[in-house]
Parts: sequence; structure tokens; C-alpha cells
Amino acid sequence: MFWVLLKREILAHLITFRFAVTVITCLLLVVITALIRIDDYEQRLAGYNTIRNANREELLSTRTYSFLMPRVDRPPNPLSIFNAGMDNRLGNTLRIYYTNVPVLWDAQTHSSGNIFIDHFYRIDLVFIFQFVLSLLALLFAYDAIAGERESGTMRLTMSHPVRRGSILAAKYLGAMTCLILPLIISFIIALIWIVSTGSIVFSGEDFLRIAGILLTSIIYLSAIYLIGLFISACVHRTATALMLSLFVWVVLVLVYPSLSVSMVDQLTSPVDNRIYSCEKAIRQILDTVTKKGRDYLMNDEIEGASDTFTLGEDWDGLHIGIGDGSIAMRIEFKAYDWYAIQPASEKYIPHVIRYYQFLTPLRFQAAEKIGLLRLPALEQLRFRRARIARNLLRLSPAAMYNLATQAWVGTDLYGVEDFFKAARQYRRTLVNYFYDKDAFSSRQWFASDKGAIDLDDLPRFAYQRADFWTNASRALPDLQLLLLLNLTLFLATFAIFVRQEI
Amino acid sequence: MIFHIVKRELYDHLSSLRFALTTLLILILMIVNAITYLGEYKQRMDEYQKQVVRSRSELESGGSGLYRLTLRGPGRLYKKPSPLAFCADGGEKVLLGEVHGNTAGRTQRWRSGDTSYKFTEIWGLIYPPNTDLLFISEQIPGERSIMPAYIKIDWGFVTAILLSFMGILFTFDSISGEQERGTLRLMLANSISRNTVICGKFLSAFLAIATPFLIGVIVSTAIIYLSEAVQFKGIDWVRLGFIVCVALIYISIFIFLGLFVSSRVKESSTSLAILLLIWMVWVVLMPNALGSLGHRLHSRPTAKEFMAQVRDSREDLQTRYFARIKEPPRRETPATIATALSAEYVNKDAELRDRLRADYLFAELRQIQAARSLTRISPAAVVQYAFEGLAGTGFPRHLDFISQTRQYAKQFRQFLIDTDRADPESPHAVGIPEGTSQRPVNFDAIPKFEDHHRFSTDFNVVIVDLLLLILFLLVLFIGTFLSFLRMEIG
Repeated sequence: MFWVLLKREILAHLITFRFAVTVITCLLLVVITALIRIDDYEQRLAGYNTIRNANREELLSTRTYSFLMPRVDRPPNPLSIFNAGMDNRLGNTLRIYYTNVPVLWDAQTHSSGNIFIDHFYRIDLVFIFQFVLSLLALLFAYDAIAGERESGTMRLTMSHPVRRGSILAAKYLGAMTCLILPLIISFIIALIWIVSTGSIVFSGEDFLRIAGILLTSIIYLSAIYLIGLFISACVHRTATALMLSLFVWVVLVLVYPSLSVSMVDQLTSPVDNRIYSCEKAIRQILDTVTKKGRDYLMNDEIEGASDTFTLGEDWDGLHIGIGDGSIAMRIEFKAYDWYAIQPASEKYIPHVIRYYQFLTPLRFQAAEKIGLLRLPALEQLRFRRARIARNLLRLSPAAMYNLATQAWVGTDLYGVEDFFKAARQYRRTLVNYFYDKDAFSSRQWFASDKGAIDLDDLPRFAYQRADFWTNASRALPDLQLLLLLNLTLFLATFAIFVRQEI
Repeated sequence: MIFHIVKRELYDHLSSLRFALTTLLILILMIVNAITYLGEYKQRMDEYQKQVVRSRSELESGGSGLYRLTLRGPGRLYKKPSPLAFCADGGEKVLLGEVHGNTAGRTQRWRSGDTSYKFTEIWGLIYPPNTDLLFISEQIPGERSIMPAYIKIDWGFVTAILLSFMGILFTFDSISGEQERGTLRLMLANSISRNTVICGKFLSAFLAIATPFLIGVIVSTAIIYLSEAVQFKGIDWVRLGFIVCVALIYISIFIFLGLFVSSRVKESSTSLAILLLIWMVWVVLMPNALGSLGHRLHSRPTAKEFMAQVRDSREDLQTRYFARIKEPPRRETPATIATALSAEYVNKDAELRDRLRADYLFAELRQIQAARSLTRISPAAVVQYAFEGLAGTGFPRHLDFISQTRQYAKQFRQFLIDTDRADPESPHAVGIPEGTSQRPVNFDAIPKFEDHHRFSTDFNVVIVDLLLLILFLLVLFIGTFLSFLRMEIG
């Protein structure tokens, strides 16, 4: 009996006009969207390759250790075709200074298109499913119970020896089959489209991630369908059920996500006073280092000079002066390349080396200390509003769906943060490299007149996106919420339907 | 007779669930928008005024020498917030509200034998976010970039998304439904022309949608006006009037669309499915898809290419002039050839920087223009743009602000030259300290920048959108009439 009911439900949906129209529209939109996003990805990838090569060249032309400040770049995420998320909104190029522990806010963006455009227009595959297929789910659901009751077929079905639970289950499974069908076709078309371009190569894990997105999409559609079914069970007339479902859809999918975030944006202030106390602490650390450096210079005896010796850098170069500020030594540089040390200054070189030998480790330590202050402070303050907004968003299943797919794809905040974690790791490697090479006790720290530095054994920056399980665990909270919503709605619908008079 | 039809239909609409739900939603959104706007406007206006005052006092306290003015410029120039931003926000937070000048005063050294001279860059406009020429900084993401993206719920959103949605909800069954029930046949059996029927249906739906919207308009305007947090000028009321008119035209478009589809299709449920999909694609998806696609019509140099171009052309200019300058400039009246050449070089360099920056900016803006032009296929985008234009926010306003700052920069430079001319002791070579008048400048005489909202400029931009909306309306109007007149009623 169950199978008869299920077959009937599936057929009833498949032959409807709305099914045909929605599926065709959906497929068309998927093709267009994939086209736009693939083109976008290719452009960003080309930009990434150009800039990476340019950075490599720039790095190789570095002649002194203190100017060894490699730029690292975040490659575009190939899965951003599914959900663009933050991939092209956040920084993707970062200079690694030995004096700074890099965070998200130090990065800049390149070849991301146009900041205004990215802000005003958003389109990706998840966006299409979120809108079009959810509407189809509601169109399937609104007359599922109310309609049958109105037309009297429900009574007819009930006259057979069939439990109400099976009727409901048949309806649910029938509709879900008809929703999953276009979804899978869309995924296949998108994948064929993506793979056939050749520019995007998915790894095995990527296919698992895509499966994760598919699963999330199914759970999302099921949640929307159950909302419609719930309304249909509560309400007596089809027309009422339709209006209520559409209204709920508009609110949950369109209005609420924008409303909640804009409220957070307007009603909370971006800058917290705590940032000033953090800034103060950072300045103190920097001042201490500067003072130690100055004290060191004060106590350093220099031949032929009775007074102190100053050292500073300006746009023209490094200068070391004695006493009244008359410059005794001038090392000029042009385009990061130290090229001249005047012969008269040669006798001061050991002093300069000792000075850097003393100061540079202090700078490293100060950078670590500042990093320890800065990282949690920025985490707390800058992410605060975003976190509030995200949590408020979770009242809408559409937003949960969006957040969960972002997590699968790795274009969520955590996914982007991974790059910065790798960058911090790389900075540590770089500092160790300096220590190994004894770089700051050498003349090559600041001067290349006796030969440029050798960069053959410089460790390279390597960045891997998080593995599948990390993505899965990040998607899990929203997935669980969606599942919970599904379960609650199904049980509620069941409870109402079982007790109903037909 | 038409009156009876309208009355009957209107009663039907007003007592329906869809009317209650949508009215509630629209009113809630518009009131929430108005209330949050009060605080937001005050904050924006306070900030704007504080910034202007700070900028002026910096100018005043910065000393009165003419050379200093040449070097430092008039300070930052700020965009005045529009009092009508509650109608259309226009992404004002993204389109940054200021233009400033370079004040770093970077130097180039000219050298000949033992003598050398330091040239200092003079003031020129910089347009954030492509802030600075020396550093490769395309964009530095701000705190806002990690917020989830959202659309501001303003009148523009309510109109573009919700009123259009209401339009199809109120009309999808108005012909097909009556045909299904057979009441259409009954009605036409009386001596009523089909024109009257369709007019009646249109009018009733129009009134049913326009009423909650107008109530929302009145309530939210009243909240904003009576709170006295926002000062309306006479012209603002005209702008508001136009905005409401545009919204009404837009509503009509979707009512006709609904009637058209409803008259072409036999079943109401089919009609609804078609209409919802058209709505979804035309209103929600199309602006996003075409916007993402549109900016590709124009290319823009990358920051790196741009930097390289700037560096090359400036170095080129420098080599040409430095070869001609034989001695360092001196304070001597009339100016020596070297002094005149030096001043010319500094000014040419400033002009060059200004031109290149503007080129880069305009390349970026052209992309947005292209995206906007393409999205105009969707009336939802058109109505948003019309609202922005009329409210004095958004992109066209931003363009106007930038052109005002550019005009002001010209005026400011002219002022420097004129002031210098008035001093007979000056060598009249503005741009280098040796060639500029040393008389103190009267602070009050310095032209001050004030951003003006110009209705005529705003309106000129809107006319295209207005005409497009009317075109959509006419096409659908004719379509509906023809379709209904030729329809077979069974």
C-alpha cells in the first residue's frame, strides 16, 4: 500500500506543469551561474598566477636579509563556484615581515574584480538552489494535505487499510524524490560544465565536499518542504496554505537574513574601547624595544667619537650619525637594493653589525608578544559583530544552508583564516631560517656590497586548504540545526495530521 | 459599472489573508526602517559635521603660508549624507564618503655636481579605496567585510521585492480563477465590455497594494519628520513625491504582468507557478547575475599595472625636466629659468598623478556603470536605481560628489595662483617654496568645499530609469489588453 501511495505521489508531482517549469528554469540558471562563476574563478586564478610569479621574482632579487619580506598569496578556491562566500571579499595577499605576526587584517586583495560590484551583486549555485528549489518545495507542499482534504481524495485514501503515518511518509518521500531529482541533475550539469572547462581541477576530497553540499541541499529542501507540509496540515483551505507558505518563504529566505544583519550592523558599534587599551600595550612594547636600542647605542663606544651615535632609516637610506647629528655614514639604497657604503664609513660597520645582533632578536620577541596581544584582541573585537550577526541569522533555514555550504566549500571565515594560520607558521619558519643562517649577525643583514644573499635554501610557503573532515566538522553545527528543524517539523506535522478529523 | 467591479474586487482583496499578511509585513519593515534610520542619520550627520569642522580647523591652524597650502591642500573633502537615505540606502557605507589629498609630501632629489635640491610633491586628490600610489594596496578589507552580506531593508527593498511580490499574489488568479469558477462568463454575460473588466481588476489590485504601501510611506515619513532628527527641505518633499510615483508605476507593472499571465493560462496554480518563477528570475536573480557579469564588459588595469604605469610616466617626466634644470631654484624676482622650470615640473607632476588616479578611478566606475546598465533589464534594479537617484544616495550621487571635488580642486589651485599673482614680490612660480609668495593668506579667502545635493543632476540620471519603467508598463499594459480581448472564455 505504501508503495502505491509513494508511486502515486511521485507521478502526481512529476506530471505537473510547475515541476516542469521550475526544473527547466533551475537548470538554465545553473548553467548561467556556473558560466559566470567559472569565468570569475579563471580570472582570479590568472591574477593569482601572475602575482605569484611577480612576487617570486621580487623575492629572488632581494639582496639583504633585513629586506627579506616575502609576499604570500591565497589561491582562489575552485569550489567557490558553489558558494562564493568570503573568498573574494577578504584579503588574498600578505607580506610576511619578521617584525609582525600576520593576521587577517594585514592582508590586501588583488585581482578580485571590483569591490563595489562584489558588494552589490552575489550569484552562485547555492544561491540558485536556496531560492528556486525551495520555492518548488513549497509549491509541492502547500496542497499536499489541505488540497487532498478539500478535494476529498484524502478521505478516499483513508478508507483503505492504511496508517496515517504511511500516508505522511509517502507524501514526504514522494515530494523529496521529485525535489532531489532536479537537484542532482543540476549538480551533474554544473560538474560537467566545470570539468569540461579544464581550468578547474578537483581533487578527490573536493568531490567529497561536493557530496557534502549535495547532502546539505537535500536537508535544506526537506526543511522547507516540511514547513510547507506543516502549514498544509494546520490549515483547512489550500488558498490559505499557499498564502501562508509564500509569506513564510518571503520572510525566511528574503527578508529575515537581510533584516537581522542590517540591524546588527546599525545597532552595534564597530569599534570597542578595548581596542585602545590593546593599542596602548602594543605601543609600550615597541617603545621598550626602541629604548633598549637607543640605550645600547648610548653605551657603545665608538673610536674618534666622544658622543653618542645615532642610527636611523629614511627614504634615502640608512644613516648613522655621531654627536651633533652630522652624518658620518650613509648607506643609500634604491628599490630595496643596498648598493653603496662609503669607504669612510667602513670602520663603523662592526658597530652596526653588533647593533643589529643585539636588536633583531629583541624585535623578534616583541613581534611575538604583540602577536599574542593583537590576535585575540582583533578576534574578539572585529569578529564580535560578525558572530552576533551569524548567530541571529541561524533563525532562518536559508541562512543555515548558506553558512553550512560555505563551511563545506571552505569559503567561510574559518576557511579563509586557515590561510593566515599558514602565513603565521611561515613567518616562524622564516625567523628560524634567520637564526639558522645567523643572518642578523652578518653584514648581509643590511648591506649587499660584499655579495647578495643566497636564497636557494629559503623555505617556500605552502598552503593547503583544510581537509575534508575539518570542513565537515565546521559544517556540522548548521547541519545539526537543519536536521533538528526537520525532525521537529516532521513530528509536529505528524502529531497534527494523526489527530485530524478528515 | 466599473465602480461596482472595483468595489467588489477590492472587498475581496481587503478581506483576504494575503492582504493582511503583506500589509503587516510592509508596515513592520517600513516602521523598523524609519526608527533605526533616526539614530543612523543623526550619527552620520554628526560624523560628517565633525569631520568638516576638523578638516577646516586643521586648515586654519596649519599656518597661513601660501606654499604650505600648495603642499598640504585644503584637507579632506567629505560627502554630505542625504536626508532621504531611508528611501534607498544605495550602499553608502561601501561607496566611501570622502576624497582626500596626499599629504605625505614625498620627495625627489635633483642632483648636479655638488649641488642638490629636494622636490616635494604638492597636493593632489586621492580617491579611496585606491588610496596611495606608492603602496600596492588595491583594497584593505575592513571590519565590514567579514559581516554576512545583506541588502538594506529600505523603501527600495520593500518596493522592488515585496510590492512586486504582492502584485503577482493579488493577480495570479484574478482571471484564471474566475474562469475556473465560471464567474467570468457570468460577468461578461452582462453588458460590460472586457475593457471595463480588466480596468476594474487592475484598479482594485492597484488600490489593494498601494494602500498599505502609502500607509507605510506616511507612517514612516511622519516618524522621521516628527522626530525632528532629520531636516527636510522643500525639494526633499518633491523627491519623496517622485519616489512614491515611481513605486506606483512599478506596482502597476507587476499587476499587469499578473493579469497577463493569468489571462493566458487556464489554471490558477499554473499561473502562480509561472508568475513566481518570472518574479524570482526577473526580480531576485537577474540583477545579481547580470551585475556579476556586467563589469566584465570593461577591463580595468590591475593595481600592479597601474603602479607600474604611474612609476614609468613619472620617471619619464622627471628625467625630461631634470635634464633641463641646470641649477637649484633660488628666491629671486623675477624667477630664474631654473625656478620657473622647477615649479613647472612640480605642477606637471601633480597633474600627471591626478590624471592617472582619475583614469584608474573612472575605469573602476565604468565597470559599475556597465553592470548597472546591464541589470536594467530587470525592473527591480531599475526601480532601485531610480530610488537611489531621487533620494540622492548610491552610485550616481557618488559620481556627482567626485565631480564636485574635482571641480573644487581646480578652483583651489586657481585660488593659489591668483593669490600669488597679487603679491608683486613673489617670483610667481607656485609649487616650490622659493617661487611662492610669502605673504600670509587670509583664511576666510580660501575657498571651502561643501558637498551639495543637486536635484537637477540627480533627476537627469533618473529620467532614463523612469522612462524604462514606463516602457515596461506600456508593453505589459498592451500585452494584457490584447491577450484579454482575444481570450476565449469557456
